[in-house]
Amino acid sequence: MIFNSAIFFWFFSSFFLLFKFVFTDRRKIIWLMVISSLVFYGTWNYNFIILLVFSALADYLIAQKVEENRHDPVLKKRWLITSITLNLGILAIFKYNNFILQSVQDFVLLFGGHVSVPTLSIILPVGISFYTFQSMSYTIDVYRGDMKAHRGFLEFLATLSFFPQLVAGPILRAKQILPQIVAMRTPTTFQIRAGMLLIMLGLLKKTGADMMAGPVSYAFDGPEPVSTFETWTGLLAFSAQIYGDFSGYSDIAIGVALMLGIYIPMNFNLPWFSTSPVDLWRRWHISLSSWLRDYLYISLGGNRNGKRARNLFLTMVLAGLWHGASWTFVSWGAYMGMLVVVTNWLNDQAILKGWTQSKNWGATLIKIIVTHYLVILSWPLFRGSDLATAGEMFITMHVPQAAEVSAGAGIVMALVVAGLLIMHFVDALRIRYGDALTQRQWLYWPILLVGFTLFFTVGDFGHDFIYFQF
Amino acid sequence: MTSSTSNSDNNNKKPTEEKTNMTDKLKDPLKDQQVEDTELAPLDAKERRKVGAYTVLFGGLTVLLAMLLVNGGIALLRYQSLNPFSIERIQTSADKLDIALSIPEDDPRQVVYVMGSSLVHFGFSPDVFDEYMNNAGVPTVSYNFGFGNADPSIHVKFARKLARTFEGQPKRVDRIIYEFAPHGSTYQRAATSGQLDHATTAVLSSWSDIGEKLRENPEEAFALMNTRLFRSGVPAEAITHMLSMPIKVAELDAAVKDRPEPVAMDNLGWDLFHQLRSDWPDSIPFGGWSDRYRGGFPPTASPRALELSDEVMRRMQDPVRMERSRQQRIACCDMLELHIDPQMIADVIQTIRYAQSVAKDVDIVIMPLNQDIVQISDQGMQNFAKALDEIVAATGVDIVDLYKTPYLGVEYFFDVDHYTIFKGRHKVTTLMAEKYAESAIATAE
Repeated sequence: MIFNSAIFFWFFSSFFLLFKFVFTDRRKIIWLMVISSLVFYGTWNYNFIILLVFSALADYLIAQKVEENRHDPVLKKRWLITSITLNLGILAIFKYNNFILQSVQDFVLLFGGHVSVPTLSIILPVGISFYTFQSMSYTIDVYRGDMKAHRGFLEFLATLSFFPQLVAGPILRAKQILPQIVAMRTPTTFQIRAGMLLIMLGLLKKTGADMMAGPVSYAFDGPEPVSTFETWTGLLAFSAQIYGDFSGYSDIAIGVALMLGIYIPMNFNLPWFSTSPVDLWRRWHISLSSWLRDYLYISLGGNRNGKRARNLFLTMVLAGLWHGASWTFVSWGAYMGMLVVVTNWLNDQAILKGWTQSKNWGATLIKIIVTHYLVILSWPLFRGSDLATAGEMFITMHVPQAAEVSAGAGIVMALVVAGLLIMHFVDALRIRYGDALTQRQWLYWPILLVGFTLFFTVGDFGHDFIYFQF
Repeated sequence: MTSSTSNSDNNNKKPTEEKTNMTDKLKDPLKDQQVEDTELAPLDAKERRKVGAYTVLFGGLTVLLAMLLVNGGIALLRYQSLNPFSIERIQTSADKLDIALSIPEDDPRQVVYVMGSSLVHFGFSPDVFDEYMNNAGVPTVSYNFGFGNADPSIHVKFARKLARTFEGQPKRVDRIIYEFAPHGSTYQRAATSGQLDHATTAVLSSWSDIGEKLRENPEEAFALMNTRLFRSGVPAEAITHMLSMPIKVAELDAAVKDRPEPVAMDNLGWDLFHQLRSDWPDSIPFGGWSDRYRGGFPPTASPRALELSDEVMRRMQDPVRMERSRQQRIACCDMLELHIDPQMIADVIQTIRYAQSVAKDVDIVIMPLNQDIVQISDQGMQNFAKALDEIVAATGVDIVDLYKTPYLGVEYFFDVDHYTIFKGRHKVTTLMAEKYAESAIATAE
């Protein structure tokens, strides 16, 4: 069940009516949330409901053990390691098994050996990377003493399986959302309107993203050689597609949650207006980058002991691996890690300080373009099928090809660039004036009406969101 | 209820129009979310319902208004344009499928349904056909069930609806003539039927079909219900498809390099459209299905319309425009090589089987080709012949082959494959009538 589908509209409408009008007892509402979330999840594959509940139950119990042993560091750590092993084990089995097996086989082959490892045909449970990270962060927070272990499995399950963010994030932490689920605050009408505005904008961004699928597919999947111009069109279209798709999904998730009285953090902050790769990772998929910072980078030692570069690089490589079980994603993570490390190094050099700190609009524009160019260089790894194809695409981007430019390529490029800019400008307007608009109802409702009309007119119902695969 | 986790005592706070630092909280929800051991206040049911009612009333109204605007826009486009989404003619035709049942059983006229693509829609005139047949001594009443942009994957759904309409009824239809267009059954063509496929499934399926779909693919089932109940049968994809057509056409046009510009149309096409709409109020827009003209268009029109039509057709037949049309058909439908999709043939066969369950006799007609403009390759003709053999072997139908005999040149066509609305339509219908009159007389003798 995806947000931009008719079935979700009816699902959420029914849920909302029950949530607001029928159930008034806190416990019954929690039951309603759990059952609805499991139904929402089960529409993909109901077999994996068990995995989700198991994951929640395991971390719920382990966190209690961690807390019970808070005065025994060794035992406490053992329980934490159990939780991490369990969560990473689930990911290894369901997401990374074939990647690991295939890599072992290739590694042995590299040294002239031969080993035939049968690959497993296991379906990837949708959203597994999101909810295992969320579940794991709960145990780590309890271990660190950042929160108390919660008593009440149902509420914990409601938190972990909260349907707006269950399958594609944002990645929440229990300490952010659990108290809100328990408190069950009634949202203000302002928050309801803010939620609906986000839903409308998210749906429009998703529609824009779907419209980019053509040029992206032409550049990445076309059987024929693609011209340099169309390769760039496809790569820019992918920037627009992945941003519109994922930030659109996040906006809808935040909006839906807000209508239920739950705050979810902003997950994107105009990433393509970033002025450096470091800035980019503060603006793109914020819930993942902050998760990695708090639970991985800091655990690796952070910027202590002069190992900041190593820790950053490792964190980014693992961020790549989080996105997918393939060497292209690992390479993508390594590339991003390298960019972040190099940017930090340059920032540390006195000679560049003037440039990096300049607020001049011309310098800012150049920094934005250079940063986006560096991001675009990574798309062949992120979206490409294998390293060889990514390499070929990289060459096509920079060495003019003999392939003929197809008719209408100029129009398509213009539409792609317009789409990319419009999505960002709309978001910039929302971030800057969203609250003011939401307060001015005489303006708010007509804009909402126009937005929903636009979506119903051209919105491509039922197209999957890209980040579901992660 | 006691819980170890709570964060507030403001559950009972009245909703307020205050800004409440919304943006800050969206940015940093960690703020004020501390885990505390406190007693949770009971929920304020009245407040919850009040906010719920506000949401349902204003949010629901906005969504409803948006849907109404979309449907209003669709209705306006349907009125002002020529079959803009392709589904309207299918919808209205499907509602008229039982028309034969209204003809008394003792009526001596032969009832003929002609089904197929836009070649039938624009190329078959029930009035001309019936007049010819009546004059030949074979009293006939015929109906045009052809519609544009539809390929066999769409026809099969239409035919299923036809079979269901006549289920348990006497075989009141004497003959169904089903037009088979080879370039409408190619792999390339099959790749383009997406949005119309969804629309026709939504419009032509029974509720039990949709119920069955609900079990295997709930999302698709809800999307079908949505299209059928709330979007007048027009999915968003159809609108996107329509909006993107100018770009697609421009791309296809630009595919032919260094070509001179065609003769300008000077808006004459729309002048003709509006003139015909005023001449034939029951038959316009072309997307609909007129009882009065039995799904076709009247055989003639006002002198102004005829004059306009002559001029429009002349300009449409401009060699540059015809070449453009030919290139488009090659690009969209593999018109010269005709690599036929086996799934399309399976759909043709199933369509015929449905038709056979309804009519006493079913034939296939191959409509005339624009031989001045289109030269099918040898391989294409072989592919076509093979497909026809397969269809005949599976269904035993007769074939009325007007494809290349007699020779029809560009003067009968307004583009690469569609017949001019007066001269071409009259010619093609007469050719069909001649065949059927001959055959009927021979059978009678």
